[in-house]
Amino acid sequence: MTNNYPGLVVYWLKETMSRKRTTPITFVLAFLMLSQLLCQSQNLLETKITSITHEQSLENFLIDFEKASKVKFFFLPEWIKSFQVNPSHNQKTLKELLAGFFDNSSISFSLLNNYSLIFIKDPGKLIERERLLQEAFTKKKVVKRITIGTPNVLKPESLAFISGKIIDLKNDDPVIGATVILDSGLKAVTTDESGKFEIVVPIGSHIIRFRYVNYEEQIIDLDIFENGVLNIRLGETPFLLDEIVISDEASQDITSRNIGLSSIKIGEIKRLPTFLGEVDIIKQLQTQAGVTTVGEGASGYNVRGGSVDQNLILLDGIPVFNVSHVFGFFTAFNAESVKSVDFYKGGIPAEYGGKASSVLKIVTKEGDSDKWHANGGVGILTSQVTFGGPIKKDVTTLSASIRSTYSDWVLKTVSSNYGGLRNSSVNFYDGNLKLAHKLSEKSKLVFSVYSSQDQFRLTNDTTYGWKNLTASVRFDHSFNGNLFSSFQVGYGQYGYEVQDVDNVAGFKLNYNIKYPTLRWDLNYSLEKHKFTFGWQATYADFSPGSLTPSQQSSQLKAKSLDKEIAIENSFYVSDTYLLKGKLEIIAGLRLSIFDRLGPGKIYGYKNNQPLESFTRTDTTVFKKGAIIKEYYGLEPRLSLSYPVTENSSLKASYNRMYQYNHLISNTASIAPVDIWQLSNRYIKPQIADQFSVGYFSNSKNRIFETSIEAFYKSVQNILDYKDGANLILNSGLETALLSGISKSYGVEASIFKTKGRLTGSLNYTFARSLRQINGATPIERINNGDYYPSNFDQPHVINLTWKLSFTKRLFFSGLFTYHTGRPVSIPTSAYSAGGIVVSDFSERNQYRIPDYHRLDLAFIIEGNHKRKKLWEGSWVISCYNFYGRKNAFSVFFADNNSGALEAYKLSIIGTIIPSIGYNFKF
Amino acid sequence: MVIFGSCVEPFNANLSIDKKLVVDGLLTDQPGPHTVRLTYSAGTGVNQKFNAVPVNGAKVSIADDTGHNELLTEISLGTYQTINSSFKAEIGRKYNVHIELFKNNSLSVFESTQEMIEPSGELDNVYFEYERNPSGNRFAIYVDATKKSSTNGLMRWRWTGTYQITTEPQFHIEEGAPSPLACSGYVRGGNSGNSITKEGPCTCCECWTIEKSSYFTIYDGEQSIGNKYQKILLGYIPAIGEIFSDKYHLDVEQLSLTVNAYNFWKLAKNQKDGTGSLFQPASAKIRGNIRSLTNSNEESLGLFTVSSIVNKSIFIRKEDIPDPISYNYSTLDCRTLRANATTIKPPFW
Repeated sequence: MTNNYPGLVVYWLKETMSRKRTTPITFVLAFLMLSQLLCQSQNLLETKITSITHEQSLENFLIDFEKASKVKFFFLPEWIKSFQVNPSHNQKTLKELLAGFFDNSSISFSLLNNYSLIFIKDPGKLIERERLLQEAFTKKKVVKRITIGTPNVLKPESLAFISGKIIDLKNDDPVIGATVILDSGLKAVTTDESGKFEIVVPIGSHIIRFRYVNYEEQIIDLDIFENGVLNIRLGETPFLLDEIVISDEASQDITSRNIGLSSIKIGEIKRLPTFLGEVDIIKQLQTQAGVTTVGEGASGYNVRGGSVDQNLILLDGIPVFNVSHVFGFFTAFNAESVKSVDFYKGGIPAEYGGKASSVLKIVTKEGDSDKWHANGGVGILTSQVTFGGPIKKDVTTLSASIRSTYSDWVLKTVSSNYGGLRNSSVNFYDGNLKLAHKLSEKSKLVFSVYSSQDQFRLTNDTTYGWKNLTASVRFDHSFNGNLFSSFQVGYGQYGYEVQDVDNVAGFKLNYNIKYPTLRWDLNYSLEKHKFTFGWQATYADFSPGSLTPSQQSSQLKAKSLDKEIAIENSFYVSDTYLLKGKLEIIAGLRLSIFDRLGPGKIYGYKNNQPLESFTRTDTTVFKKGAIIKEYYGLEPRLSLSYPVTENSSLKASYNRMYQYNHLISNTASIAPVDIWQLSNRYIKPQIADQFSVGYFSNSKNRIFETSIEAFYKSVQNILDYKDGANLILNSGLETALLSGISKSYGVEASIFKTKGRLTGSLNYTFARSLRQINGATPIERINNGDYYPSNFDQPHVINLTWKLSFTKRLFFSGLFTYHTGRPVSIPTSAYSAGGIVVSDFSERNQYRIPDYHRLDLAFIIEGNHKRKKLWEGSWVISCYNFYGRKNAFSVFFADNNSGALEAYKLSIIGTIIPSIGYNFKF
Repeated sequence: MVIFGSCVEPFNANLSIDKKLVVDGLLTDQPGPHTVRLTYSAGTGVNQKFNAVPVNGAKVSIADDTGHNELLTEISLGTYQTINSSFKAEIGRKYNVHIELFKNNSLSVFESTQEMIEPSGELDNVYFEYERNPSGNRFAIYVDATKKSSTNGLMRWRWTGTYQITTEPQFHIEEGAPSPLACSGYVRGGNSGNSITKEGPCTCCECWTIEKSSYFTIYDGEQSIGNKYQKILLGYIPAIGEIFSDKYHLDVEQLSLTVNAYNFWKLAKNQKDGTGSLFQPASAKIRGNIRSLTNSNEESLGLFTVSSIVNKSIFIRKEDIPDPISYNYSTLDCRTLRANATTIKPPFW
């Protein structure tokens, strides 16, 4: 046995040592003394057999043996019924006897506390268990040993039921969505909204791991003989200090239940190269398969061929409309203030809705309920400070963070003065505040505020400014063990202002949207079902633009569009169900109801004619509160997960999403003058259907994790602008828009190396994103009604990230990204008509800008890793765009002095951009 | 040290330019001749004035919806005109152009869609407002118009300005000495003196020149109340001495547009007014109303359209400028100052 299964040696040793062993160090010493210990131990297995008098079954022999000594054997008779003992076995030790029978069979045996011998049918499991333990020890993770019940009641092959709760070590909050992994991941469950989990395990020994992004993993070496309770406290991973990188971060693909869900590790983001030293959540998102961007300075991101407005970004439960600073160079969330980031690109659960493509759920940090902490960072562009702690110990906590630019000196050093760039100025800040107050053991009140603001002056004349504000109060209550409720009242606001101070044409353009929200999310757990259900309501109050003269002398005529009001109500229910212990099903249904409300006016248009201002027939005026238009739809969601083998699983999902507000833009990214338009009589809700299937697999030694996913997504009622349409301050925006369908499909392949000095990931995506606008008349068609690539169709995308640890404190990390250049329409020739020279443009999006590729590198030097020092610091030295490629961002047209237009490409970043930053914590 | 190094470079997409037939034709309800120009589209070069390649030898005719066919004659390379002076468009009739030409030794036939000529409505008022502007004071030109009920109300305006140029060629100086131009009517007095003497009338002191609006205005009636179009801005005329030596004659034409023509000019205007500015939509392909009958894959460009025209003229006088203006008199022959300057006084002056 020992020769074949060296793991078992460790196990035996642990049995003898476990009562004394408390720290990994003593274990390692013990391990070195292995051979000695084996010789010395008065092991039951070493007992010499003398009692066999006649040939009998092994079963009877063992029963007799039990009677003669204080030993208990645990086995199923059918496992051993073929074995017979006879007097020739006398003088052998028990171990030799059993080894003679079971070597090379699927049955192994294990000694527990030197008086019980357990027969185990599947030694692979046991070995795997030993491997897990050994790995944990070598990684210096704390392994707790817990025994539930006593071996006396052990019945092999029977099952035990474990229930429990995972709470945050600091503030006793339930840890939602944490993974509970049984043994090598054969079975895993996640915690519900109240941090609870339930798992059924075979009686015997198990390794149970409790894992959550940005938290330190807990490992329990469990011997279980009867039903029991396991309550776990998880602590956050120390800031840049996780001594050993958690080896299996990507196995979330295997064990987390949801296809298309990924969680982002904040600690890992900090060790990747940055642009000007800013740690960035959304930039990190863009290294994942299926997520793309059109380039630097482009706000927003595209998920699986979806447009930038199809992404739901929830900050503490409130949607955020524009998450960028400085036109998308930076993300408007301070990574330091973020506790967790969940991202769904498919298999979106029923509790999320309102956007067609993806969900990014960001939860900000709560303060430590025990003591005060602060950390900060000093970068080239910004500084940030985050602090948190108890206002009243264990009852009320505060967490706050603020980040701001110092000044606009960066732009002053720009060498090129294209477009008056050096005369530009940039200013931004963002801040969070979170206050949590425990009302009782069962209820809690959380107040959260987020604010961000930007001021950007491109030339001496025009200033762009935009701001976000979200605020919410949430009341969590646990009714009894099974029902958990979370009620939130929230308010969101987004607006921008463009101001030009020209004496004659000076103007001020204002745009503002406000959206108070209510949501009530409930969770109810039964033995095999986990129900989530709730109601969400958003009141949308859009002021879609007003133009006023900015100067007394300005000749500009003021113009203002009417307010737009709508209410969106959604009800959802979802059930997570484990079928026969293998197939897991999450099935949900969401009903969304959208009511566009008065006051307002809707134009009528001539029948069978394109919507044009000159085909208008009448205007219908709606009173305040009258329903202008109602839409509703059922959104089924389904997600399946089937473990094919121990190390692999097959998953599939389908979801339908309704989207009632639309970003109207003729640029590919979110620009500061974009218009969000609510659905109305003419602008129908976007309806997305997405199918995806994936195969997820880990290599045997778990060094590599691979996945391959395929998806198909179609969206109805997508909007594209009519050629030459004017979008800004257009009171009948439907005349500027065309509606059609989009389809996108692709295959995403990823490989992660999760262990060793070198870790990293590589992914390749092939995907297409196509649109078709095929209206009744030629003017209502784009490219004659044929499919054409969307602005962000990037068929080939490769992302490579790595991190090499030279020592525990010195890292070299990098990011390489490549994608096909995005499509553009350009002037191809010119002609003369009506006395003027006109450029002949290509069909829409028939050309592509050059392919994009970029390499970023970073060195991270961290302070020493002693846990109890007062001050921790780390340096991050980054090189963005290491080989200085001039990646084209966009193409624009200018008269080339021939009267016709010529295409020019604009590269926003044309050189290497080094930066250095310092982070501290105390 | 941080360097963004943003940069702008011509985008070379390795275009292969295929010559496409371009039709530029307008038939109006005014007396002819009416012109259809045929050219091929061509590539452009930086700082090279665009020159269209004319298409000669084509057979061009205009047909109406009664079956009448009017053949056009090529009067210069690529320019085809109606000969019959009584041929003009009649309100409510539909017209299209038919073109036959040999391209690569095979016959290609093109045709426009049928365009119906709508009445142009009334041009109620042409007026101006003086504007003080740091980059030069100017007159803003506006029109008020009334669309005819039951028409699409789509309109385009273009204008022609006529003004006088006054020069003093008698004061012409060469090599530091008076040297009156011959056409000034003056001669230098004597061999040594610097005096000049009038001997006849000046034939190059007063010219008139015309300028066409460099851009045009189109309007779809959006935001107008009822059928009244109020204060549509047509453009600006600089309030400078070079133009206002006397007065400025402004003739505004109001053209009715078909829907196809409106969509064409809207996009063309969009290109001209500049892309990339905050309030301007992206430029895009302009689809004309010409299609090939022989090869449905062959793309053709341009527009054949029909318009009804009304016009109105006003004068803007020097006295309308409330600020003092200066004028540096030229001592050149006034006919040389502008390309189309003429000493023939227009009848309306």
